[in-house]
Amino acid sequence: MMTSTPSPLIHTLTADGIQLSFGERPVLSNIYLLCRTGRITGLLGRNGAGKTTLMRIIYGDLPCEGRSVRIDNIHLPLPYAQPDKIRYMPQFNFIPGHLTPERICRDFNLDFQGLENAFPEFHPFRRQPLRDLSTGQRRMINIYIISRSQSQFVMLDEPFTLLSPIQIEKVKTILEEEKQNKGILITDHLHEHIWSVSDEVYTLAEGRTRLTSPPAPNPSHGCFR
Amino acid sequence: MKLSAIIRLLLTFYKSFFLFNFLITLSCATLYWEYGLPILKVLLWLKIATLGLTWYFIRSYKQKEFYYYRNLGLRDTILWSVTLSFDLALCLLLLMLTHHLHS
Repeated sequence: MMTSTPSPLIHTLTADGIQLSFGERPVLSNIYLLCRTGRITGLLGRNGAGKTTLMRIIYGDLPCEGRSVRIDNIHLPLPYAQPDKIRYMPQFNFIPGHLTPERICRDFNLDFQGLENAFPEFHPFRRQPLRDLSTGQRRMINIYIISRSQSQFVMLDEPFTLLSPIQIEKVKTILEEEKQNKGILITDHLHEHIWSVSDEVYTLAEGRTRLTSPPAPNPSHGCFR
Repeated sequence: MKLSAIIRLLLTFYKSFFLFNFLITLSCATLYWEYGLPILKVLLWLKIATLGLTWYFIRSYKQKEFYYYRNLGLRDTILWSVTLSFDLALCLLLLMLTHHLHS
């Protein structure tokens, strides 16, 4: 499969100087974020903190007052026009419902066999329209094509939401494999999964990002919170 | 991206509003057949108005799908300019053909 070729280069994605306010209220004001090839960078924050907004600004499809997004220190004025540099999976299904898994793989230059190997349950759905699949299956295809496609960086918005525990483990495996080839930025409300898969985690609060250390496990809950 | 892949994606996008717009084009051709040149200006404005409506509704109701094309390197402006121009060209072609057959 094309995407399994390891990249010999280490790339860096830097986002800073991002300013966004809604009326008088500043939403993002002091942002610094660094992603690198070979690492998974997590982004955590409360509902409405601006995680999705920040990803969309980095991707370039949401205008803002000020922004600097660079890959290898080269400014990207329209990142979304360069899928070889950066791709973005939004938190909803973005694939037209009439497309089949086979066609989607072809569009993204991926081998359907790879999808089938990772998820044997897709075998009978090779030529079925995506709208016939379950929500979880559609989500898996969204995650798979963006993660596996050839790009220097990928951003995944809520990749673990709507998935079963088994599917979450499969996604984590894919991300671990793919980080050898690219830098990955993820955000999700399921914090324990972000902590377990990320190499570094930024917290977004009051419009600012801070590099955060993992919390101590809470024995009474059996997970990170 | 290869040209064939770009065309395939543009056709996929065009398919999402082809039927409605083609029905409008056929209606324009029928009206032109009935009333001839005096109605041409009205028909062209009707076609342009329906293209505007198409842009508005697809942009509102299928906005999530634009991420599919963006992730494949096709900007919204390219999608719209190519498909709407093609649709308008198809309408003009059909009107010219109607004119030719009728005269």
